[in-house]
Amino acid sequence: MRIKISKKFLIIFSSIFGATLIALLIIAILFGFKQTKIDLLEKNIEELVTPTPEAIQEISNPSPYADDLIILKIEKDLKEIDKQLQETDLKEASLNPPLLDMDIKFEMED
Amino acid sequence: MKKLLIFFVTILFFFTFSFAYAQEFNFKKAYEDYLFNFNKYRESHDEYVTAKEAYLSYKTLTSKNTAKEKTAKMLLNEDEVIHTYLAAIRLKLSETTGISNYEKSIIYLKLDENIALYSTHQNSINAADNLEDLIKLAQENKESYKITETLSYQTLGSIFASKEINFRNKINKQVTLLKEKLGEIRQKGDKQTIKAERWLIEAESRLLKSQEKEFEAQQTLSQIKTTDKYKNKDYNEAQYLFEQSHQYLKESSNQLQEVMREIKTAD
Repeated sequence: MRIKISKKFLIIFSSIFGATLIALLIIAILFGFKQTKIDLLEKNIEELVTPTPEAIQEISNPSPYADDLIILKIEKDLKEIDKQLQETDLKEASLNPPLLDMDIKFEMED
Repeated sequence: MKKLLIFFVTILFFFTFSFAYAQEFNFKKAYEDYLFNFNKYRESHDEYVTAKEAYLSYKTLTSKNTAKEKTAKMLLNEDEVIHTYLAAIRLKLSETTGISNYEKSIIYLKLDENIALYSTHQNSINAADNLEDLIKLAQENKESYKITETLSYQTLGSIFASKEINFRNKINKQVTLLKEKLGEIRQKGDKQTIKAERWLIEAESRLLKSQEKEFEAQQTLSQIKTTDKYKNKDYNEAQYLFEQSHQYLKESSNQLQEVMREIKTAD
């Protein structure tokens, strides 16, 4: 079975879709750029406003291992773990089951 | 011309698919969905209370019909709140590492069964003929929710436990690396390792204590029964044990930093 499609209909159809696609592309480009700019701006602000203070441990008499690469790597990883440990919220009260009214009665209350 | 039409339709399909894919459903979105439904539930609950009071005061057919309509709406929203809540904690669990896939799949199965229960319940509410039927369905929901609460607390427990397991694995990895390094230093003999090794033993002992507390917490949660009236009491106790477990991990981390200080300081 062959479906006949008129030329006029195809032209109108193609024009509408063409216009929609162009509009979508323009929106995507505009919003995409805008978002990147905001992200970069936020990143810069974060970097400027919240410098992370690090406790400097002065070692007056360093051992031969004070500058050992493996030791420095372990030290860095430990600091990161410690930071995550401090930041972890083990309560997460917002995840508690919802409080709902389960007593549906149609009786006069005293 | 036909080819042109196919081309446009294909392009449009591609765009639609891309937009849909970009809006991936994750825990954050599921949680927002849950909050949105909770607000809807609260509004419908207020309407139900008003309609109930009107019916109890006037006892007219109109007020009974309104009460039926508002009760049904509230019950449907209640089911939706539970449904979206369970979906949110399911996604939270899926985004958590540290717990085995096997354990996860067992919890998923239970959660999915529970979610299905509320979908069936919603169908029954829609099919209810009168207010009395709705009250019966609400009673059924009260019983189902006891199972949901137990399951929710146990799922949350698994999420907290997996966080602890994750941290313990990370710390254990550093313990292994430090042991290797201390062995190397001992062999070279250019530095005393006794003090550092003592700190390391302390750190390991804290890790063990942390694991014990985590097991205790898991055990407390597994003992929650659906018939328990105050499930949150056991849950709070488990949370306290998780916090203790976490405290031991912090102490272990501090002791490892002492090991570092020892290694970096000359005798």
